[in-house]
Amino acid sequence: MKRMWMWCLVGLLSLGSAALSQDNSARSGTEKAVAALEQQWLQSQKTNNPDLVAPLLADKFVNTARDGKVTGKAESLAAAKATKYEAVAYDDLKVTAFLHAAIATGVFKAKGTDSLGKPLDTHERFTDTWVKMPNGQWQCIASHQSSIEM
Amino acid sequence: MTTRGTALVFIAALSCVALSVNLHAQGDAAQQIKELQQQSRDAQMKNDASWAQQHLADGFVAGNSWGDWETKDEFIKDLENKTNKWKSGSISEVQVATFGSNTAVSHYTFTYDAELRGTHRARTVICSDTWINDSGTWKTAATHCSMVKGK
Repeated sequence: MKRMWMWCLVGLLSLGSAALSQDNSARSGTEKAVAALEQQWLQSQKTNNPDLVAPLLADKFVNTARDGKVTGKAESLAAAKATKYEAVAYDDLKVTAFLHAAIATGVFKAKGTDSLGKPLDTHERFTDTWVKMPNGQWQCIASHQSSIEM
Repeated sequence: MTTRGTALVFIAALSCVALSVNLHAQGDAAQQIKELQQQSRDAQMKNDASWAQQHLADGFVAGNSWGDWETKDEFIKDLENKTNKWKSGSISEVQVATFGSNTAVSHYTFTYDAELRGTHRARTVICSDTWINDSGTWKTAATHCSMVKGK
């Protein structure tokens, strides 16, 4: 009888450990997948090709710019199309996975000309919220930027 | 009506009920988050850290308009710091968008006047908060605010 209880305990501990390990592995997988999508977004800016970022944005995507201007997907893509980057880079990109969402934070530096043709020299923090859609694809539902005051 | 016809009507009715329940649930979630958003601000005004303990997700990150990032622990420590004094603070224009039944994003304007870390700070900011449904409890996963130009 004692032996049976011992085996039950070992079994339970193994199951718990396997579930924990699976959970950690899923989180790690999500964080890698979202980090790769953030790199795709950066690549779209490096190559001035908004077509690369368009499928990453959810239909209900909302962008809040560092000046407080709020835009939806269409307006954000139009602005991306009109902006010409000469140099872009991320610093400290960090992705944290939650149950059905992931948060990416980091610093974005860019130089070029903005959508109005004015010189652009940006140094800002960003928070991007990603959600796994019913089709299994991760999409960004919100992005928020704020200036880093030097 | 044939058996097939009855079955189709039944399936259509069932779909309508499911859609209606889903829309109702999303509406409820949006309303619930609006209320939580207000509670969050009320707790902040009173330096009440217990609300944050319960409603900030592990891994929470806050980005404020002054250029600082804070983790959950740092955010709570700031709330517990009695030298931080809020003179006034109000939120307005709260909008909530839900994504399925477990994720939502709220956007709102926050106007405040406070003494924070020994410095007088007063401004109007626009914020985006990400909410996740953790086993029936809505928790904030991230908040990010930036200054509204001209305010």
